[in-house]
Amino acid sequence: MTKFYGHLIELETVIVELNKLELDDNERHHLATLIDSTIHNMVLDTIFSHLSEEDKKLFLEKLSSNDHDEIWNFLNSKVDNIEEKIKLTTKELKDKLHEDLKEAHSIHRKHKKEKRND
Amino acid sequence: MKFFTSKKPHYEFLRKKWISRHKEVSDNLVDKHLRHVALSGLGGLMLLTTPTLGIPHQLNQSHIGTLADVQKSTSGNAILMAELSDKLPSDVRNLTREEEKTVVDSIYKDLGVKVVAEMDNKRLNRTYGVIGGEQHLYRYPGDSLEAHSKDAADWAMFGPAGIAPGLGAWGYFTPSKQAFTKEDEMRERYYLAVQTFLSPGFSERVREYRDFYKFRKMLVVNPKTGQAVVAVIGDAGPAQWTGKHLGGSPEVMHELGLAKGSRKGPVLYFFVDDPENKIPLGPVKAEG
Repeated sequence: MTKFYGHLIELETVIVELNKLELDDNERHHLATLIDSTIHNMVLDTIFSHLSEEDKKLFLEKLSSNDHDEIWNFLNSKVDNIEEKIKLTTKELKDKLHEDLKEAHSIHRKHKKEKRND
Repeated sequence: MKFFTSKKPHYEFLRKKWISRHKEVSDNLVDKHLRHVALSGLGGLMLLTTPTLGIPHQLNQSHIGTLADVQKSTSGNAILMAELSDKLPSDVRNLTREEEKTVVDSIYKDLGVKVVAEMDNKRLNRTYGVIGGEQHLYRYPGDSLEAHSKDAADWAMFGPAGIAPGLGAWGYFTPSKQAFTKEDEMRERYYLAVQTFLSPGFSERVREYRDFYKFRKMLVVNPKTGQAVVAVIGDAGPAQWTGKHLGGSPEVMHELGLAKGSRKGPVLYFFVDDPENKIPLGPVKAEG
């Protein structure tokens, strides 16, 4: 993971479940892109929630440089336990994704059964 | 009476649910935090750093590298495909020097990449052969399969190929994670395994040949589609008994349009004549 928060997020189990579904490349990539996008925006929301208006602008500038060390130095100087806060947010999302995938597998099984009975 | 139903209701379920969640999260981000930033004149910076605010509602097919894409948007590749159709033998045999020259000229004309079959008096055992899909390689001690992916989308596309239990012919790409560079990352992403050990003269000058082949840049072309990719030699193989003549990383196979099904097919492969190391690794998409 090359996003600055990549080391805080473990998505292997989600992707393994996603890859078990009958999907073509476009569909799988599209769903995975939605996961990436949602995580990114949730991480930003968590960070912005703990920054002042002025620091939000400074953070955006750091973010545009994509220098991970600089980003983390800045965040650690402004927010206590920011890594833990990000981990917590993304864990909640991950749990929801697992629930969704469980339901998708169930729909998939039901659909296959119906097709066999046609 | 049958009503229309989706062919993949499980996909539709996830798509709708995840788009809805994405929209909710994005709207929340903008409303709570970014509207003020945008109004303060930093709108451009905001868009640069949060490109994911746009909702990817539609399937984006541009990354897939289908034949249709090649024909639509990269007409240089399509022209090459058409030109090669009557220049290559019907069976996948070694090319004659004359045939090689014709192919090399076409590649330069259509893709703008200067390639050669022989460099520094060295040539591989062939330039037209069957490529098969390889796994990822460990890049440094302690590397993992997941670390190869930039994000979930990357992981979903290339993770299932797995990682080879052993190292490539030259060991790790870099001695430690600390020394790992963007160049190393790209080398593993776009690597080939070629039969270095079958090249004429190899057994007489093993060290010289080994050094020459290490991370040597090559162009691989799928003649059936015109899809092309620049990659480096990152491993030696496959064994002769496999019936395959070279191997490609998951990303190489994807860019050649050979990542599905049997994950193999005939390709052309030549050394890239790039003494100043200016040609980047990755797909070659030539505008017509």
